[in-house]
Amino acid sequence: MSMANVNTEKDIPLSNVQAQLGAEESYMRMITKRFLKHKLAVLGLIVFCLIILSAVFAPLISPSDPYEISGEFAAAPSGEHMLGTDQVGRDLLSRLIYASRVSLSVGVGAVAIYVVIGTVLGAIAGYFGKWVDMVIMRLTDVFMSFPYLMVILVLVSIMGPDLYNIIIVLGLLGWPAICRIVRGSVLSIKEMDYVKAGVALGYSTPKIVFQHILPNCLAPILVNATFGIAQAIIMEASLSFLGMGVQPPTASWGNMLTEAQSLTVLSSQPWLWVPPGMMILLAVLSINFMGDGLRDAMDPKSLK
Amino acid sequence: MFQYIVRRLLIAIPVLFGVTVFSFFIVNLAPGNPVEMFVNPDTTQADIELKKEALGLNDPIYVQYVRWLGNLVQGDFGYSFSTYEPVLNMVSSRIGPTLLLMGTALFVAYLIAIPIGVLSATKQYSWLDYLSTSVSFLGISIPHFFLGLGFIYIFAVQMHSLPTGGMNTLGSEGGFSDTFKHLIMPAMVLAAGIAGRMVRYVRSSMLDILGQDYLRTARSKGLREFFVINKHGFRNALIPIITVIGIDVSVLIGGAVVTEQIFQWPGLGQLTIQSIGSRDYPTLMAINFLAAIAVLSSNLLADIFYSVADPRIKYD
Repeated sequence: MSMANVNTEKDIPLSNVQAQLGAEESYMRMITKRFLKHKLAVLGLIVFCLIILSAVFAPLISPSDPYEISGEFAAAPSGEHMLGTDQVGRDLLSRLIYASRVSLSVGVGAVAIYVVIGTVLGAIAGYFGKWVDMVIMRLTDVFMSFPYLMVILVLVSIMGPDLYNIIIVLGLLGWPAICRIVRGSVLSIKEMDYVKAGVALGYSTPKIVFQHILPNCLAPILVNATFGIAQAIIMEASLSFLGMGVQPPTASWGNMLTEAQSLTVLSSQPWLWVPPGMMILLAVLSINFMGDGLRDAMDPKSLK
Repeated sequence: MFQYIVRRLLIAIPVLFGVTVFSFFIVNLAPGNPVEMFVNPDTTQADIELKKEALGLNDPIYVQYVRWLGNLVQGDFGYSFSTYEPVLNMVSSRIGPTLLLMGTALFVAYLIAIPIGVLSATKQYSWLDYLSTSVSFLGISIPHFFLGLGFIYIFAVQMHSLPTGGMNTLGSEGGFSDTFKHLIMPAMVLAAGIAGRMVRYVRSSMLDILGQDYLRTARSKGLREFFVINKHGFRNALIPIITVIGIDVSVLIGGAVVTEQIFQWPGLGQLTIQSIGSRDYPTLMAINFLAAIAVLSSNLLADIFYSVADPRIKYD
């Protein structure tokens, strides 16, 4: 997406650039104002920032090493271990904090990959139309026909379950929604006069697509990407829960719940599985609220 | 409209072709091949080569694809790597339970979500709207496995009112009420996410309709509010909702994998996990292929139904 932000062109008069920047700034301010009105979205943003901070500063705030056996097996929460210990005797709170790194890197990594793929394919389909559009859209249909989690499970099992493969597989399969959105936006924007002016001025096609058309599809891409991060986090957690994701000893919120499939853990050691489950819920919920706030704030239907 | 339906059907053909290519690609990408199941300590390299030749594994890839496709059309999905049974037999006994689970979940989800979505829109910004919005976000955001474990903890472990898993009580006759008891929790888990999304969708679709001129006309001619909402508003709000049914089917199938695993429901989802454990790629491919066909056809039906339901839409 950074490609689209480059805006310092020599052939645009300075006053134009300033006017454009000014307009962009007030647009941003308006979006921010509208976003801040959405209380749940603001709450989501705060919680999400806290999760990011805890992931970044995990070594500083964790009470102990997440891989070190520091207590009894599956000890209940106590003064020494705030959330108790897991079945191998590692501190649960520390593992919970470190696991946020896994979830966030999957969420951001996978979405970054598929936003790029989806944007490029969607822009090509929308701009060139005709058979190019036909081929890309049918490819999108094919990808959308396979139930997401099922294909991911199969591909991850072929490639071998680890963090990087999960990010790659999620990234390679997630693009169809973005592709459709971008194609739709490009189709409507390419008929506008300023784009035709760009063509008449003899600008190259990539320049028209990336600098004149794509910046105007940023809003729906951003909204979709936000929800996408939440979905990717759920996917990673589900895969890890099923044992096909991040492998122990690396902590992931999903694989911390795997042991709760046994009835003894489920019924008599709730501290083992409730906190990681709550963390997934909290992270996903906060991102979804943010996405909802962004969508409302950027909805052109309600722009004055 | 007829032309549109025909064109929509024609478009589905290349997609179907793509689905088969992708499925074939997955099986061929996967490690292991059908020869391995004939290998025993006495097998020589020459035997293996012979068997490979007999099975056509030395043919060019497109010849293999065409042969594979020909078998597929006749319902021959090959043999399982783990049980050596025909894949079709393994898969077909699992379809019933999965359809029962998904059908119940979809039905319950829509039954709950549609009225709540309509109410939420007609009473926008009331406490009811906020409550339904919060609960639906919770439904969308909670992972199936966490909700499932929570349900088992509450309803099976603490309250002892529902069985923890399976489809029938072991050793019992089974029967309708027994299966129904086993069905409640997994169906609720699957329904939660679908219902949450549906509430959001119905609400926004209904809000769009409520602002339309023809509703004002209906009101100004003195129609009772009940009819304005339910006859003029709701029926039009339902139209865009048709399009998400295809997406819901896809979400349901994915969700069924996790849910069936947690509740040991003997369906395709559980078979998926078992096949992954035993690296049984022919079975996995068959399940994926069937799932893709299900999604493809429900999308197709949704699109056709949409064009029938809304005569305002012009297709060029």
